[in-house]
Amino acid sequence: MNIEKVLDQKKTDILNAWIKQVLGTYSADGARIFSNERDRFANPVGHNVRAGLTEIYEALVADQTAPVTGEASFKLVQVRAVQEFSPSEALSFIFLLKELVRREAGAELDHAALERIDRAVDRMALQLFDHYMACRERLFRVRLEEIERNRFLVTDGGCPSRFLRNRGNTATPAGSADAGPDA
Amino acid sequence: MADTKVDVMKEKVVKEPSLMTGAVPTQDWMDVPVVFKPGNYCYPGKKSIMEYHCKQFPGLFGEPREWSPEDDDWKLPENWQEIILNGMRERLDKFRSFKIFMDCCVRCGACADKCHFFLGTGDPKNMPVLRAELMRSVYRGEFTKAGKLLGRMVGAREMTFEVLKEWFMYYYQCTECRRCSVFCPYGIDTAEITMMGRELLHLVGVNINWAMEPVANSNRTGNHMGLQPHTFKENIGYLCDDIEDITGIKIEPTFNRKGAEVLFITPSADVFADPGIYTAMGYLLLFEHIGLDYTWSTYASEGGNFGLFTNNQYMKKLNAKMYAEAKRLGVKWILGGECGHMWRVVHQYMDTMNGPADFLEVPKSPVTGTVFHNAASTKMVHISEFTADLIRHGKLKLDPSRNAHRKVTWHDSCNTSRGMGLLEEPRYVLRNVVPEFHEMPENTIRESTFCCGSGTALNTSEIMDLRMRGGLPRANAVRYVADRYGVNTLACVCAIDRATLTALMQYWNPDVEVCGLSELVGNALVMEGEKERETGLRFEELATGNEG
Ligand code: SF4
Ligand code: SF4
Repeated sequence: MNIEKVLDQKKTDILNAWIKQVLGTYSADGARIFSNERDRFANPVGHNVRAGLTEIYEALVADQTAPVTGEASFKLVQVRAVQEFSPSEALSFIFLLKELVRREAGAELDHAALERIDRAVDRMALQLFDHYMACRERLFRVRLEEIERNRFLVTDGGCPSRFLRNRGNTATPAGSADAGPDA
Repeated sequence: MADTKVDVMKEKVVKEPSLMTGAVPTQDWMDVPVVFKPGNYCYPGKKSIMEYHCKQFPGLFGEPREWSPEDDDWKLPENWQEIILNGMRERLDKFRSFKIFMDCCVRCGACADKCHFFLGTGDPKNMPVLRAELMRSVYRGEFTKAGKLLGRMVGAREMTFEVLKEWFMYYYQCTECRRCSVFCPYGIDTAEITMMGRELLHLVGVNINWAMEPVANSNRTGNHMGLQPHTFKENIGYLCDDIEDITGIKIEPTFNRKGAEVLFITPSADVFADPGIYTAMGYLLLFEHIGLDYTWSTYASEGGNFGLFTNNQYMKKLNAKMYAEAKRLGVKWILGGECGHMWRVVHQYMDTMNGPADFLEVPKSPVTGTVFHNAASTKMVHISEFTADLIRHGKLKLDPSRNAHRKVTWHDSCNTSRGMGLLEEPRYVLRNVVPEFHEMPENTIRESTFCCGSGTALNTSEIMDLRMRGGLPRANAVRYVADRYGVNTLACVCAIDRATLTALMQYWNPDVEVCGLSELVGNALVMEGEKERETGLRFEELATGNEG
């Protein structure tokens, strides 16, 4: 049996079920709105989930030995990497694909074919894990760079007049630290 | 990403029957407790800072102390419930809008999916209707007969510690951007409810440092960063040195000069923070170009007003400072730089708080003679209005090809677009100073613009995850024009945006840089007697074949 052909025939069923399950990891309101709203700008999470899963599925159909190369699967991981998921929660969606393929196409695929698909999914999982770590590392780099840029902001600055007083200037000019300039 | 502690993760992975872990609670929202953990809350105000505020405004900031949102005991005053309820009563009497917003929501749901925090998280309490409901439920429970009698049946509840925690969580997951209000048939402005929420939290000493420290600094030294006058002046001097290196033009601006025609006020981030400083270089070049009789002030050295994110008393006081300085210097009117919330305060609140500024003149451009009637009461003109008018009258010599290395898209900052209706002027300026400009999709710009996700003092780094998900809708639209047209620059007129969008782009779209509009103006301005430009204002290379 030709894996590509079977997976392609079952594409709509498997993909829709998969998208529904992944959107189900958000709150009931989130899942409802992320599923129904089709405008990609009004619904970035829904859009990125849909696009990412589609890209992964299409990659699986095309070639079970090649990596996923597109942007969409990276984006999907990038979104989940900053949401309130643990790492395992963020990435567990990839393994659902094994269950879904068995459920929707199990009858038409022999053992060897299923094993081949499983291996492909495992490889993709590792790849998504790399994406995930790349995103987290990027996030911390962003944070660090911002602290660098903002280092002037966190100054505990103090008032010029206090500065003068601390240097032994006995006169306390108007607008001291305690009073504020226009207190 | 949530808690990554191994034991917690192990438990989750093992216990779930399906591999699809992370299922969310299905209870009624009132029964879902908030959980504070590193990364989902801002650090509380430092004790020393809060002591300072308590001296400024006794009774408005609770008890200065060390505390953490993660603790079970927030060390609240014994009678904290009474303080909150009294505070609520007082505000219901004082602010008509607050009372109306508490009464009139019909729960139509039009606002539900309009908030960037909801769109990035899927958390129902980030739906504006529910964000307001966090307070409305207490209003019903404590201030209405039906609520007192029927309680939860009519969506009413009492003011408990759990509720207080919820307020702290979700009133600091709202950037007061007002996008939701655009879609509400009743014009309910959830931003104003968030403002009330924050004011009430302050009364019992619940606050965040990223707001309180800049407010303290502004009150003391005149700007967020606590820069002292000589430092402020010195830094503008450095910017002038850079301008001289790049253009060969020597600029010598004046400070605190009495009798100048115009006082120029901008966020201090323009003077000190990257990438704001390039915008400041743009201002300096522009004013030199037209020979404007203006002065900087080292006292009104901050346009930003974190009082807006704190309480109405501080907002008023920090705003008043700008006008006090204008009066002291005897200028005719004020020109304001690229800031977001400074303009929201000036446009929406200044007039009734500190206005009208009768001691100033209705602003009139000394170059074109245009009278800015829109600023007849506040006497303050936005730099984009001012620049657009100059261009319109052909008063600027511009060479847009010097910005040919930039393919630009425009971010409407919430405060200037929704807060004051500044939509066309910056676009007009942009079209005249860059060769290539592409709009983002319609439902993400102008009045419907998406927030940067880090406004209202949420631009602090301990909540970077939260900021990235809040900013997802904005970044998602930028990604689209970057892919489609090769956009590499996101321009805006807001100092907070310049900083926060920089971080947002670095995470979502690292190929896109952020800049202020006046930086692009500065690049394009052909100055009299200048040398051939080899770089832009940030010493970046120009597009080949386009120099000069
Ligand atoms: S004001 Fe902005 S951040 Fe706040 S609830 Fe409305 S859309 Fe969300
Ligand atoms: S759109 Fe207005 S009336 Fe409708 S649910 Fe939201 S706040 Fe209430």
